[in-house]
Amino acid sequence: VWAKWTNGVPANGSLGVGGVSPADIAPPTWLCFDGPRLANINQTLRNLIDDDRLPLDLPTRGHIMALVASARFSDQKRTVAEWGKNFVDVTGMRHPSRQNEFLTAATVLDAAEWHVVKHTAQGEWMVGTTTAEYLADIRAAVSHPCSILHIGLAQIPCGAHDTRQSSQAAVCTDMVTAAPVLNKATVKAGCYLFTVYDTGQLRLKTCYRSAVNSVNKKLEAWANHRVFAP
Amino acid sequence: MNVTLDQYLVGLERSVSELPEVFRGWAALDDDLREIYSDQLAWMLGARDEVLETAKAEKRLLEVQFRIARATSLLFSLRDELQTFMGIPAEALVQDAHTSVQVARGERQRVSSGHGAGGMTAELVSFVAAEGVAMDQLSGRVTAFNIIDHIAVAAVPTLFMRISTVSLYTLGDRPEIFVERVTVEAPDGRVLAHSESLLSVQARLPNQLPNGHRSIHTIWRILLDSTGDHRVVVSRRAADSEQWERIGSTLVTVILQPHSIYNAQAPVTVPPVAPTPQT
Repeated sequence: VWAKWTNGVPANGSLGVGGVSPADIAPPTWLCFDGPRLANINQTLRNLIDDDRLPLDLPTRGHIMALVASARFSDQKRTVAEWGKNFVDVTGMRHPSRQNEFLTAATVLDAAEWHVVKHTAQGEWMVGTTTAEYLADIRAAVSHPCSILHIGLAQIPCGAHDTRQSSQAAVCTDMVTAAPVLNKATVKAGCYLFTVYDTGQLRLKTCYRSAVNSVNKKLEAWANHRVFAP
Repeated sequence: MNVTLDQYLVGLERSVSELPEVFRGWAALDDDLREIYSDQLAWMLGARDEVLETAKAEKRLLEVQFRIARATSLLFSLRDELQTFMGIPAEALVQDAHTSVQVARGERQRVSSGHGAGGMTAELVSFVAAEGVAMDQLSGRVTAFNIIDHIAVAAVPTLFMRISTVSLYTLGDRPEIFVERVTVEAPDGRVLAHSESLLSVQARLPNQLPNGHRSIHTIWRILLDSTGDHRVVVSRRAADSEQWERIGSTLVTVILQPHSIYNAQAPVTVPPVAPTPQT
């Protein structure tokens, strides 16, 4: 089931052409937690972060990985001009979900689409990667047996000199090891695919390629940091 | 990187120009957007080396180097905000190169730019003040026009329109990051104007270029309120230190005497201009 789901190419072959249907990017049924179950696993995760003496067993680890793999990005929609402050000029690039359209400053994208545009521009995914393919790579990476789960409290900037703590789960996937299941991510040795999930929003925050050292440095700054290697 | 040089440069220049507004509205941004903006800018800075490699391959190195240096200069003037809001330290702005250009405007202008060589190993071998400095974008050669050793004015106070300085360093055997400051000091020691620049100086490889680093500062609109021996001083300090070390200076004597070829009848607030040939 994983192999089929993470293959990244939907049965109708229409990925990225004329829009992406929810079915294209939805996780398999057995991973689609209903509201209460999702909330339970999310709460379990928060408890594990808040109390680092709580033990984590293999089934719970599996559930957390599945939670991250099935999570969606925020539904927040913004224009390219708004997302793209402090970034390269992406106007003229193909729309990540409607490949027959090109981006302008006024094009409205949701968070997942912006992440596709951004990480494609940065060379972490191939040119022409669609939202569905990006999400499929994330799921394939998170669900790969070699992936390492980190949980902890990250410091989030929230004003001048101010930060707040945010309960997060992150999954580090060695790119070379996971290369066979990645379709559009540009594999680079010594790099992780770094996927971050926010337990407060029940949403994926980001997924990008980063050097192992850089990821480790970022994670070292987390409070209550715990690592669960496979 | 899957973007062209122009996409990168246009984005960088736009980002730099929009940053003050972004910081003004920082408190109203949601957490995700703050993180996204910080990450994106950090990536833009980290991508500069790759961009320069591409520029070299596309034979646009000098143009791209100059545009990046200019943008970096402006970012350096926002270094406090970058550290405070985005957690990006000033050291992250530094980038290898062998010419840095700094432009300041008037007194108390917070400065600068950045590029350079490294450690306390780079040695200042020449420092001149001039009316203007030009850099040949094709060859990278630097030319100082009308080197200044005195300023003749009809009266004080007077506004001196522009003074440019060139510092020439020979590179040492290891890279070094330091802040260079140029000050214009009155005879009584008061600082009339200053300009700072964060330099990142490469190590020198024997028998290879670059073997030196050139740093240019231009300070506009200096109010000279007295005559006498003024000094243009170049100092340096380590990026993480507050201690300035004076490494060179040049004397500029201000005298009350209309310049022989400037218009002696001109109002005193009009700065000297190059003479127009009379036919």
